[in-house]
Amino acid sequence: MLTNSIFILLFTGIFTFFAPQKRTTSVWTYLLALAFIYAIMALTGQAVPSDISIIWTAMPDFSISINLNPIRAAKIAALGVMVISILSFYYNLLASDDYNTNNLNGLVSINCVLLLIALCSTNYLQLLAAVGMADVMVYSSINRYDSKRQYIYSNFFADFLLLSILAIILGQQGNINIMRLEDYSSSWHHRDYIVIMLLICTFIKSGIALFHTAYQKISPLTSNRINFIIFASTPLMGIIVLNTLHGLLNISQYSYPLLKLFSVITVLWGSLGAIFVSNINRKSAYMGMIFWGLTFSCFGWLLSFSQTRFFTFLIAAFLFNSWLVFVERPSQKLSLWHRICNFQMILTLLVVASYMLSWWQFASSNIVLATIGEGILGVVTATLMAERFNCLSPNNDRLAVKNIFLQALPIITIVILFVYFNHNILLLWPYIIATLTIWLTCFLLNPMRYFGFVCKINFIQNGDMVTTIYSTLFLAPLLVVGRLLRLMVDIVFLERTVISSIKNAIRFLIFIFRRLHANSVLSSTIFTFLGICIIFMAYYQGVSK
Amino acid sequence: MLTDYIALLPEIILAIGILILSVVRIFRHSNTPKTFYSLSRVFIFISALATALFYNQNIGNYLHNNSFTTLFKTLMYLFAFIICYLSAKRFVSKNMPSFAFYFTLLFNLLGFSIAISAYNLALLCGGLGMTFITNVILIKIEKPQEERRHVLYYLALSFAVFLTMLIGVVGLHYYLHTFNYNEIEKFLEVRSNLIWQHHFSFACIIGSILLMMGVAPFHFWFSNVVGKCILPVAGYLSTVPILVYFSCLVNICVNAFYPLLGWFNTVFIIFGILSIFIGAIGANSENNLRKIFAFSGLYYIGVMLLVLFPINDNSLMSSFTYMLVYIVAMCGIYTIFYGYRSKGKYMFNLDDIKGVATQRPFLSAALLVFMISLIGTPPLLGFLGKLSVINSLVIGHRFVLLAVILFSMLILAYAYLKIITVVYFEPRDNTFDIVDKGVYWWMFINVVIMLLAVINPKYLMHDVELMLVAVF
Amino acid sequence: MIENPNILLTILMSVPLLGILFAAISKESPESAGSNVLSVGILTVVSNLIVLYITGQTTADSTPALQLFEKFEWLSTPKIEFLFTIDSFSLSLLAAVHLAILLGLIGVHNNTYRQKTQVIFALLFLEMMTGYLLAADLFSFYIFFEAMLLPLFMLVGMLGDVHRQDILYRFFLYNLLGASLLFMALCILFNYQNVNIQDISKAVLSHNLEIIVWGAIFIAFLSRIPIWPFHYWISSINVNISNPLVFIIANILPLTGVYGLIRFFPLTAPDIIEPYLLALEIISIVTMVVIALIGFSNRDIHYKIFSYMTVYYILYLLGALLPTDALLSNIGFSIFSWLIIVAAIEIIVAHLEKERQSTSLPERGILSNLKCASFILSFFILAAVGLPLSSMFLNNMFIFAGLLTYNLKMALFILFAIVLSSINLLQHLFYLKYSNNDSAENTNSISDIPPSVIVALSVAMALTIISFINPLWYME
Repeated sequence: MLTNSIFILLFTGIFTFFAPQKRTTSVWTYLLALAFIYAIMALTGQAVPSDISIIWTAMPDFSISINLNPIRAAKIAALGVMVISILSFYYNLLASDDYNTNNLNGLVSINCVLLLIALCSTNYLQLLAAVGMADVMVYSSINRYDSKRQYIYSNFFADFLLLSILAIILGQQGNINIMRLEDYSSSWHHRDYIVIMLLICTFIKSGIALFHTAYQKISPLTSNRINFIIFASTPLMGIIVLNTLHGLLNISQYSYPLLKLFSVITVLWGSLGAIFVSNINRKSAYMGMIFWGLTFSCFGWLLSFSQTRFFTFLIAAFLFNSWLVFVERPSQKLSLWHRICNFQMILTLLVVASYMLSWWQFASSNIVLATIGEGILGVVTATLMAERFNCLSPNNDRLAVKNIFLQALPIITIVILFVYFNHNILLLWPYIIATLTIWLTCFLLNPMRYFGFVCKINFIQNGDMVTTIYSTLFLAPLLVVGRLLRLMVDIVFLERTVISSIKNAIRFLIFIFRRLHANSVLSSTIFTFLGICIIFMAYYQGVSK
Repeated sequence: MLTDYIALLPEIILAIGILILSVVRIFRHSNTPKTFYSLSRVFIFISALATALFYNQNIGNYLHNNSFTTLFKTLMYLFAFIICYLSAKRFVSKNMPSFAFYFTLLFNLLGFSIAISAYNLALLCGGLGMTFITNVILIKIEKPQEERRHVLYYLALSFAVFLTMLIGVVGLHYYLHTFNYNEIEKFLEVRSNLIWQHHFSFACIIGSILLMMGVAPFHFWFSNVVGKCILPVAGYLSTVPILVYFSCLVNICVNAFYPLLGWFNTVFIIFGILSIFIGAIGANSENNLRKIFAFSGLYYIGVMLLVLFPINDNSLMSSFTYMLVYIVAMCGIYTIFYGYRSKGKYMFNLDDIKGVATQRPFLSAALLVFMISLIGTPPLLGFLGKLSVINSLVIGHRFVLLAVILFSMLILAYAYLKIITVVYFEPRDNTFDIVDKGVYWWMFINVVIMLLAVINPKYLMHDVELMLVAVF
Repeated sequence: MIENPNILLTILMSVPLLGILFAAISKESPESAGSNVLSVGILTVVSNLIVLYITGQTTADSTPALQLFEKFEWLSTPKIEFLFTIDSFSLSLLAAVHLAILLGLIGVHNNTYRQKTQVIFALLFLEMMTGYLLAADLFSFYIFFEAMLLPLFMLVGMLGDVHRQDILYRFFLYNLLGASLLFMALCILFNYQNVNIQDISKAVLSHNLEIIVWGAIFIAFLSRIPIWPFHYWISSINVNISNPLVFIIANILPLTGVYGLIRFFPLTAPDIIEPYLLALEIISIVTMVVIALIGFSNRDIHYKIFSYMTVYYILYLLGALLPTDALLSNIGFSIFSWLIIVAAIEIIVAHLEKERQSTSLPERGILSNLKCASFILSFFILAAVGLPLSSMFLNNMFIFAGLLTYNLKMALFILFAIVLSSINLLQHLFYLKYSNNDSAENTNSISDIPPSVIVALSVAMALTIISFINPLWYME
């Protein structure tokens, strides 16, 4: 049952998190993998989904239930999530330059559990709780402060947006049931606001263009962490949120145009970044951007969103990115032909083929979209691989993994599984061969090398336009306003004006008082006279009149 | 026939006490400062007992005793006793003669006792006037030659006050041919009988009493006197006379001059407001501790005055409670001043007691308790006083006065905060002498009384009220 | 099962008094250096927490007819009785206050300067807060409302490093003014109708009197909350306080204003104050935004914490002013975690400040080598910003839902202020964590938080997580 699986994964993850870091890493990783395999078997073996919900009593007169019963579509997504988590474990194990593997694997496991909880959610709070907790897990997995900072700022803001739109819906609908979104749709309050906020939230989470800085900032991390973060964590959660609340997209006229616009910008931006930026980890991040851009374009253009195909596409993208950073620069002593014909090249072709095929399958209901996406993917992947194989990247990082067969294992396994479950795709073998031929041509010719001068521009390599725009347009004015307010309101208005006036008034009274009481005889005369006058006036008013 | 004068027993005892003190002073040469204290306390104690025993005995139309007068006399003796005890510590520590102080004290108690019970204007005038004049002896104690000018000034003032009161009394007698309160009231009730001379005499008498109380604008003498005299005298002048003047004022207004109170109410209100403001501002302008509390006393007297008039059950109870709270707190504060001593000198400037809390924590804690009580912060006794006052003003729909009192209280609280700051927050400059155990004991008893009174105020609020309304 | 459960209320109020007594008579030697009196203080608070827990269990079991209720007849003429009672809302707040002060006491265990005084006044403040949160009639409410000013003044004055005494005086007098106005309002209500707290809106008063009464009540409670333009001296006090216990206590004070308004304000606002409510809401929101902006531009961590707290106090205030009672539980549960979180943050910040001053190191990157402090501070700051690590996450959602339903535009400003104040904390967290090579080497000389504090903060972390998973655990 899924419930059991979730708890097994959760507790295994927690134990792994606290396990000794530098010892028995493999043991713990295998343990985790076994737990996941058991979970997959449990999930796939379930004939009738069990109706499991845990009452999460929030307050005396309001209880929320945590539902762990995936409907069929979510079941497939759950499988996909678990598979990608297993892949993350695998690559974590391979990455010898990462010294906190147990810790990271624990976080991956708990993150997977949270993704599953989000997938199963039938109420807003379960979804929101899963999203928030997943952010904490991913935050913990980032082991550089500047990367952490960017990440948490962006995702905190995204979570707040999600919270606000769910709060509006809760406030107006009076219940937290996601299944009853149609009820909300019928009343249509603040529809544009809700949709725009939802989209911004998911854009931030998935690293869409203009909101992608957080994922660029994680480039100093090890490649296994980067891939986990880009493909198996927060961006995936963003898609889950969008998919869960997709019913809201219909309530505003701006939703689909925005989706399309941003997906296009993202794909283009990602492509340019992947081609022209030299740092391999940043290239990897831009590849992730392309992936998510294409995914959002499917949301924008396709009539339906297939979970199976999406997760296939996701796994293929993950494999590609992993392969991209793990592929070794071939020896300079080999000829071009030998460099092309070696095992790495075969693996490269397999990875690229599966990537492009899975995309085609994903977007096949819209031929135009599929073709354009295919083209972009092809050009970019070809350019990247050409750089790796032709040693054109001026700033290539040394890689950690030496044993190519360990890298080949997941690729071959996934490809076999892909072919097994999608053997119909083999019927398209002429198209596949044609595409691969075109790809190879691009690879060999590498037309983008003529734009190599762009790589030398410092701004392209090191500039961060988005952060600069945010700082200039948002942060700087806030700082200025804050300082002005402190100066004007606190100091000038309150302190110098109001408080000073009162203080001066009291000082003046005390001054008068001291002067009046300075000389005994004079003061006694004055005060006695005053007293007599008062008595006389009172008599005059009260009696004489 | 002797039983007709049994009510005079307390006064007789006091008179005997004065006599014995004088005899001892003249004929006994080996007197110590404690000698006169030991004698005085006996007579005060016996007088207090006698007062309580013969609480409802009258002497014709001259002196009337009832629960009202007994209450005030008892309180007077009680606080006088405390002052006596603490003063002895001071005289012993300085090894200075104490005859003048105790003699004058007993004399004053005698005069006050007569004045409180007086049902006759002449006795009132005699009692209050003589005591006011003899205060000059107290003020003169241990005064250096160059400061005797102030003594002369006070002497002149006291004579002037006495004269004013005398004029009022004599004038009234001239037109009404009586000193008796009852007869005066009956005459004044008939409005057609009233001429300006009656009002003038009335104003002279009441004005004199108000001046003796130190009510603004007649407050000018009080702070100077209290600020410059020795500690026992300052403590005495800040506590005991206030009680007495209050009771005399109430007595005479209720039983003699009630028909004339109508127009004088305005005077009370203006004087009250002036007292409040001058008291609050004055407390902030001074650095002399006794002057600070003298001015704060002015504030409390002002509040009492505002609440007291128009005189009815409720207003009398409220103002009495407020006054009692003030006197208890003031007694406690002066007790603490006996503990603030450095190199044999009693500290009276604010700067002298910087950081004293670090060396005398219990005394300072008690000072804090008393000052917070004076502000009226619950759960201390002052809250009871504040409750009575504000309740009374609300019942009387006197919201403007209420606002004035609250605003001035904030200004006064500022002065108290300065003292608390100096005592607790400033670094200590002086080393303070060891405090006599008696001071701690009285301080402790004072605090306990305050706490008990606030925990179970039934006696104060209910039983005392029954005693107070006996004046009507 | 306790035979007379009402006695629990008396015990709750008596325990801090006993603690004060024991603390006052505890003996200190140069070797113990204040640890005896601190132990007394900690034991007192822990004992009261146990009593609170028992009270929570008893309240959970009771039917509405058997709610805990304690009466004390004070005066017969006029008839004044002190009533004390407890419900889940005040229980949550009481628990939060106790835990926050407990953390504060643990946080000052190395601070031996006037240890006895600070413990005594802290316990006195706790006693007043307990009475205030248990009060059920007008007078007992007022008594504790005003009485808590004294210990606060003493603590801030002695230990608060407030160099400008006039700011301290203004702070005290401003609060005293509010208390006096409340007293005036209560006297009017007492004399005219003698109503309970819940029935104040039903009192029939003349037009002018109603304005006076409600105006006084509002000013009284708002004087405790740093509403513009009265936020200045409250903020001036707070930013100078380096003692964590005093800082925590000073920042608990606005809770009295929020609580008072929650108790006094009826479900439906009287017509007479309806127009002023909108003005109050606008001023509150302006305050939130202004203070959040000033906190954003201010480098001082204490101001950032103060701005964070102010924004949240006003959030709870606005939630309480909505025409529904449904949010009260949410506010109570949220405050429970929130106070603990802020107290924990303050403890760590104070420790870092102390270490920094003793080693003269810059603030930037000071956390880079302090693993425990870094982890715990990160946890609490993430919880503070609203991530699902405490009951704030869930309950704030409901409060936002209420506010967003009521008025979207105003709620957006509120959310802006919340986000900004949260970013202020995050900003500072990374400022403390981020290091260059030089500072990383130098921070080796700083010691991490002591083990006793780690244990206490770990318990606090566990409590906040439990409050997220099962908010009503203490009532089961």
